Amino acid sequence: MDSRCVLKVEGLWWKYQGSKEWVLKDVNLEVSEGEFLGIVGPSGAGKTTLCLALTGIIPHAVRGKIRGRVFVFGKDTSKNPLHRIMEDIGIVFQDPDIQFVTMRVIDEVVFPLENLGLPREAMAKRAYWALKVVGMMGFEDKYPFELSGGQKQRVAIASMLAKLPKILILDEPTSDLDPVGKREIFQVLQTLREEHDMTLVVVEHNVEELAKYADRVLLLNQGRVLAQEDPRSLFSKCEYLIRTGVYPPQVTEFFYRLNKYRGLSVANKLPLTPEEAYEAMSKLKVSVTPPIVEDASKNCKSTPIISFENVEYVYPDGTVALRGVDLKVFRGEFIAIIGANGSGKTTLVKHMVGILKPTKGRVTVLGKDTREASVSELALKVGYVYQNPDHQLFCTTVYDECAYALRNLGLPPQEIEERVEKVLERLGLKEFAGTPPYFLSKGQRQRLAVATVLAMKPEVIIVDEPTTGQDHVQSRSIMELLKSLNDEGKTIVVITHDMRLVAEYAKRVLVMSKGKIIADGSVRSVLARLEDLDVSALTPPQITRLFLKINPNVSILSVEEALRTVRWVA
Amino acid sequence: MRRTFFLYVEENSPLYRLHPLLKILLLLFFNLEAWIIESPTVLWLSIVGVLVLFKLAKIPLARLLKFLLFAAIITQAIMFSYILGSKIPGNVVYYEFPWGTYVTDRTLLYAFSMVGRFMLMLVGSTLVLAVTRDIDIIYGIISLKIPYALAFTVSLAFRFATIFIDDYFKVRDAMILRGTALDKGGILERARKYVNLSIPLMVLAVRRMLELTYVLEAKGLNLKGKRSYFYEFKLGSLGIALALTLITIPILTLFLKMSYGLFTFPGWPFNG
Repeated sequence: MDSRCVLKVEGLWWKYQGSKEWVLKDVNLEVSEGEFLGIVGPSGAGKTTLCLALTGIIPHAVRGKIRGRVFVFGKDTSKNPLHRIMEDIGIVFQDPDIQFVTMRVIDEVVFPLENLGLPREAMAKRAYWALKVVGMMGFEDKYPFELSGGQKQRVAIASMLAKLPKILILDEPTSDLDPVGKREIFQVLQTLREEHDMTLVVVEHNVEELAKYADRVLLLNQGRVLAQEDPRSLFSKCEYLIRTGVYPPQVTEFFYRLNKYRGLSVANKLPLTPEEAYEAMSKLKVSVTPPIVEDASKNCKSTPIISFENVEYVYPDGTVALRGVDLKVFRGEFIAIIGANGSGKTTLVKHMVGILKPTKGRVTVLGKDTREASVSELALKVGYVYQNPDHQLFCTTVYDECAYALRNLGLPPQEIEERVEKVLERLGLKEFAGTPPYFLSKGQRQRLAVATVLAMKPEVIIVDEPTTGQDHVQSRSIMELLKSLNDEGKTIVVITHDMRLVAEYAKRVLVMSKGKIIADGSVRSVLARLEDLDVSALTPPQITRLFLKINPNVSILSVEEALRTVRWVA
Repeated sequence: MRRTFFLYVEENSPLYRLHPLLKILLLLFFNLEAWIIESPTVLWLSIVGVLVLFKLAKIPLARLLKFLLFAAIITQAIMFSYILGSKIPGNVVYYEFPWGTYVTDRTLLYAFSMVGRFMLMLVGSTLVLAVTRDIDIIYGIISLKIPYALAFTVSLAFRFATIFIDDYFKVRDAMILRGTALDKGGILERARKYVNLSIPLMVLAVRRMLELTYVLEAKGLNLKGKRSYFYEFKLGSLGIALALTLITIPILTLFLKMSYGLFTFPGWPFNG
């Protein structure tokens, strides 16, 4: 083994007990000391399983069949006790809440050290050092519910750092986080690299950040390693990546397609960041024609279907979640609500379905004051799909799940049958009608959650963060579904942190900050208001940033639009 | 204002700064005393004493209003059960029921005494819990030298109770949004609705437990082997004295009650 190789995987195969399929298939991998290895791949590729195998949790704490070997600093993980392996390695998981197993920040950071049996002084020294590294000094006495998702994830990293591991593995550490949280985590990772020369293995759907920081990226699909190359080389294989279910950075895709379809040799190496792309563009003889902008309001009728008038909402603990909100939602709109965690997005939409009633002001849905209507009455007009589909699935079969609300409404059996069959077919779930919902994949459960709402034929469908924790293929599948419903005349309100999907699908965007709507307008106009977005720590998609830099009056929403915009000057 | 699971409010007073073990002992003390003492005079005087402690600990008495409905329901239940279903002899018989029970002056006094016991438990527990962080309970258990596995289990239960409660409200709202009237229908129908509600909660709990297993492995949880503690739990001489007092008083009260009939209900036993 190379002396600088700290992690080595040799012909690793793994399948979980009771499973027929191998989840990892002949994985071979070496990670050098101080290296930043990114791992990408679609959902179900085996990324989490690989992380568990790298730490020794597989095979020590998970039952299944293993072939091949994993070495951490030359120690075979299957032949050494787990606690010995864990001395050198730390792992941070996706869910910031589950990882917080004690009740205060300082307790969380010292917990692994207490398990190691360290003396008190050593624990204090390491814990405060780790908190300082992740920028959480001063938060020692805070409780989990007092922290944002990003802060909890930083505590999880500190908790592992305090053990002084030589390798840190992070399994989708930013997927549950808002843009502020994502930025915080990558800043911490950068610090760990630059100041502590730590070896990092990071599984991430956000390829744009990985492209910036990783030395090497491994592409995993269906348990197999398809490629392991430097980011520029891997992300330049755009078509191959998209076929695999991984979307390359937008500017890389833009230049790739410019090269391929326009037959232009515009760059020797494809750019990974908007800055690199800007530099490449400035060398080209191209002009940028602003796109023909369709009036987003032309399909909207003048009478709003949902109206907020100076709405304020105060939670029982005194937290003011909405402050003087005025809003009108018109029929047929596709609205995206964006903003940091705690900015009031979910509180706002809960007023639309009547789960919350305003403390001050007035909310009307189809002309009816929500304070005078029951939730079930409003639910017939406005459907609400939860972020986690598991919160809203409680029947024994997929069919019953869709029929549940209709039975509560007292509809005749024949109508229920017709509606359920139609909606299951519409969402591609007909073959699962008799299946228990919990046997479906997460993507299918998400579709079922939409189906249960759709069966009630609401005029407005609200979807709360449908893309969280999903890969791009699944995210696009959900957004395509919402788009088709919008095309059929449904009003769609979606809360999301994915700015790329906001740009590509939404027609109108609301930016929330501290309980207020700070920007409201067409997606094109809002994404061009960089200052307003910056207040909410939001960043427009790469392609939008690139074109705004070229011409502040040109707001581009997608790679396709960018390709149509560029004109070659002879 | 920082609140926890037990409605803890941080204030600067000696009661807040008590050692976690003493807080647990104080909680036990109030509940044991309420169980031992029967004399309505002593019980209600004790309640007044606890209210004075509220003032000293700077806890707003409004805190007790949170339990007003609960207290009213229990008080009514106690009063009705004695009025309708007891045969306590007394000096004045107010009413005789056709089913053989009767209401006397002592019936009312005894019911008043039982309400006093309940109120002492409620007010005493509220006082202690208002100055107790959930983490104090854990530290208290650890300082009692009870196996760490138990302390950690309790700690984990507190930690995940909040996540569970959050899930409960989400699932409940999701059901309401699909036309479920949870508070309507007969007992069986309501039970069926709550069974439905429990399914996603269980599924979520199982999914979380699986991930939690990995997390605990990653954090090197060691329930059996040797481990160290970040916090030092020293009672000090004053603390030891207070602990001994809190242990001795209930024992002494019980001894005086059993041996000399002190703190008992006047005239007890009624047929004596």
